[in-house]
Amino acid sequence: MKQILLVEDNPNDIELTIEALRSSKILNPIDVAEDGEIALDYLLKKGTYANRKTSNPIVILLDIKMPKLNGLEVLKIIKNNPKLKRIPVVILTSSKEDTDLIKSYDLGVNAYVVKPVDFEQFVEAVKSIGIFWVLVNESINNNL
Amino acid sequence: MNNLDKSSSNGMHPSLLSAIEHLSFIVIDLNEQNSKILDFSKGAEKVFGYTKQEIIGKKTSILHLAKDTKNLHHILIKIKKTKQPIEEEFFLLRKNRETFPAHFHFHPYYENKKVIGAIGILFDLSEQKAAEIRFNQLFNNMANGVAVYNAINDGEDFEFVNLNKAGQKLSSANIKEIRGKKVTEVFPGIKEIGLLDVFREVYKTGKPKLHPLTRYKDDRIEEWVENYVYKLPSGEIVAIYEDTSERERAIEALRINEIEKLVNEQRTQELLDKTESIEKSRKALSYLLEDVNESRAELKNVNEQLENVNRELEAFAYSVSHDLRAPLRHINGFINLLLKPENIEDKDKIIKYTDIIAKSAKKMGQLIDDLLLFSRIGRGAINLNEFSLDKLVKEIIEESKPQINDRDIEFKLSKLPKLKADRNLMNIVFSNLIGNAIKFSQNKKKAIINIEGSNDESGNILISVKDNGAGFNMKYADKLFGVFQRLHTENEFEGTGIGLANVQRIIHKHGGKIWAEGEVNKGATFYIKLN
Repeated sequence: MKQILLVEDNPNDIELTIEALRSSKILNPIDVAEDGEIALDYLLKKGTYANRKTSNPIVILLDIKMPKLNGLEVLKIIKNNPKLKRIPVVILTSSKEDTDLIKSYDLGVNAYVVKPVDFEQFVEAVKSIGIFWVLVNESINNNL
Repeated sequence: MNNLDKSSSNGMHPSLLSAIEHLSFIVIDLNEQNSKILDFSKGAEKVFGYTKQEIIGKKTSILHLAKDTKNLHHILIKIKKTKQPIEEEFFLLRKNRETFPAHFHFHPYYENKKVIGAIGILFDLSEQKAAEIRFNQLFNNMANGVAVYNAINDGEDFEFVNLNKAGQKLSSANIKEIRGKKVTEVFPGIKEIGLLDVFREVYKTGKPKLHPLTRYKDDRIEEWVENYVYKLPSGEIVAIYEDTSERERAIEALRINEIEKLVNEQRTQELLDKTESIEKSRKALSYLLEDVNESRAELKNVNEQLENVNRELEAFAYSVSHDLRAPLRHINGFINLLLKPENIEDKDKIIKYTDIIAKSAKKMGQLIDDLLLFSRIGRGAINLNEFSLDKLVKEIIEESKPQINDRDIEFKLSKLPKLKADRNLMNIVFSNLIGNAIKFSQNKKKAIINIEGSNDESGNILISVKDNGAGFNMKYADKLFGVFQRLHTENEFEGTGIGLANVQRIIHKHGGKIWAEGEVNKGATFYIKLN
C-alpha cells in the first residue's frame, strides 16, 4: 500500500490530520515532513531520506504556512520536477486567501482544501480527500 | 672730323660746332658702291656704343640688321637717286646688338652736282617710343574710359579724336565709327547732365574739373558716370570716366546690406529678447518641474510608505486569518478527540489533549497580544529619551530569569552605549533579541550570548546580539523579519512569528537598520545600526 506524505509543521495539526485519516478507514502509511525542506529531501531522497526505499507517495497533503520553504514554494519545485510532477498534491491549509488559491492552481495543484475550524467538518474534509485521492483516483505508478 | 674742319673753316662758330658734336650724327661716304662711315660724332658714340676709332671706315651695314628692309642702306640709295634730304624712322643696331627706333634726318652733300655723301642726324626714339608704348598700353588697358576730343567752333561742340578700349566698352561705341563725330551726336544726353558745359569751361580756362557722379541716360545707354575733364597742351580735351554702375550697385547693395544689417540687428535683438524671455520661462518651468518632481518624489515616498503599510496590513490580515484560526481549530479538534468514547477513560490521552487545548488557548492569547503590540508599534509615535542601554539590557536579563531557569548561560556585555531612543520600544527590541538568543540556544549545554556596542567611522551606533544557538540558513535571511514567518517548527522552538517583525518595525521607526547573519547550529548574530 502506497504511503501518504503529510507536509505539516504544526504537531497538533499533524495529530488531528492523522486522526481524521484513520477515522476515515484509510490505512495507508502516513509519512510526515515537518517543513518544506524536509518534504523535498523526502521526495528527492536526499539528506536524512537518502536511503528511503519506498516509492513516490500516492498523494501529498501540503500545508502552506510553514517555516523555511512554504507550501507554495514546495509545490512549485514538485510541479517543475519531471520525476515528481505527476504526484497528486492537495493543499491543505487554513488560508482562504484568493492569492494563495490562484497561485496554487497556477502552479498546477491537484486540489485545494481549506481546513475547517470545526473538527467534525475537518474530519469530513480529510475523509473526502483520502477517499478520492487514495481510493478513487488512479495515480501513475512511477518511481524515482 | 675733316669735313667738320672744313665747315669750321667755312666760318662756323666754334661753340656751335661743339654743340653739334654732342648731337648724334654720322657722315657717310656715298662715293663707292658700299657706303662707308666717314665721321661719327660724340653723340653718335653714345647712341651706338662704338668709338669713333672703331667705326670710321666701316660699312654702314654694321649699323642695322640685314633683314630690315627699311634700313639705312635703302635710304642712302634713295638719297643718291633723289639728291633730296630725307627724314625717316627706322630701327638701328647698337654695338651690343640691341635694336632701337630712331628718327633720321639725312642731308646729301655734293661734289660737281653729284651726291658723294650724306650727313645723318639721328634721334634715338627708344625712350620716346617706350613712353608711347607705355602710353598706348595705359590708354588701352586702363579700366577707366578715356576720350579725347577736338573742340569745334571754339568749343561749341567737340568731336571724337580717340576713345580707349575701356571707353568703347563702357559707351558701347567703336572708335572707328565715332572718330570725327560730334560728342553731342554720340552722347545726346551730355548737355542735359551738364557735362558739355564742363567741357567748354575746361576748354576755355584750361583748368581741370571733376564732373561729379551723375546718372547718364539716352536711348542707347543708361549708366552712372563720373568725369574728370582736363585740357591737353595741344588744346584737345580729355575726359576720363568710369562706369560707376558697378560701384553704385555695390553702394546700393551696401546700403541694402546696411539696412538689412540694421533689420537683422533689430531682429537679432528681438530674438535675443525672446530667447531671454523663453529662457526665463524655461527656468521657471524647470523650477516648477523640480517642485513637481519634488512633490512627486514626496508623493512617491508617501505612496511607498502607504504601500508598505498596505502590504503589512495585508500580510497581517492574511496571517490573522491563518494563524489565529489554527489554535482555534486545535482547541476544537482536541476537545472532540477528548470527548470520543474510546478516549474518555484514557487518562494519558486526557492529560495530553487538555494540555494541548490549554496551550492552544495560551498560544492564541499570545498571538493576540503580539498582534496588538504590532499594530500599536505601527500606530504610535516614538518618544526619544536618552538612556543607558547597558542598564536596560541588564534589566531584561534579570527579567528573563524564569525563562533561563537552571540553564547555563553566559552573558557578555561590552561597550553598550547611551541611546537616544524610545526606551519602551527598545525594551521590546532587546527583550525579543535576548529572548530569541536564550530560546534558540536552549539545546546547547552552555549558551554564550554576546551583546556588544561599537561606533563606526560615520558616528553610527552598532549593536550586536550574538548567540551560539541553532542559527539559521542564510538563504532564509529575508524571511526572518516577516510577520508570522518562522524558520523553525513549533516542535523545535515555540513562537508566534511576530517578534522579529516587531523588532524590525521599531528599528525602522528610529531610522535604523537591522539585519542578521547566521549558520545552522552555530548561532545567529543580529545587528542594529542607529544614527
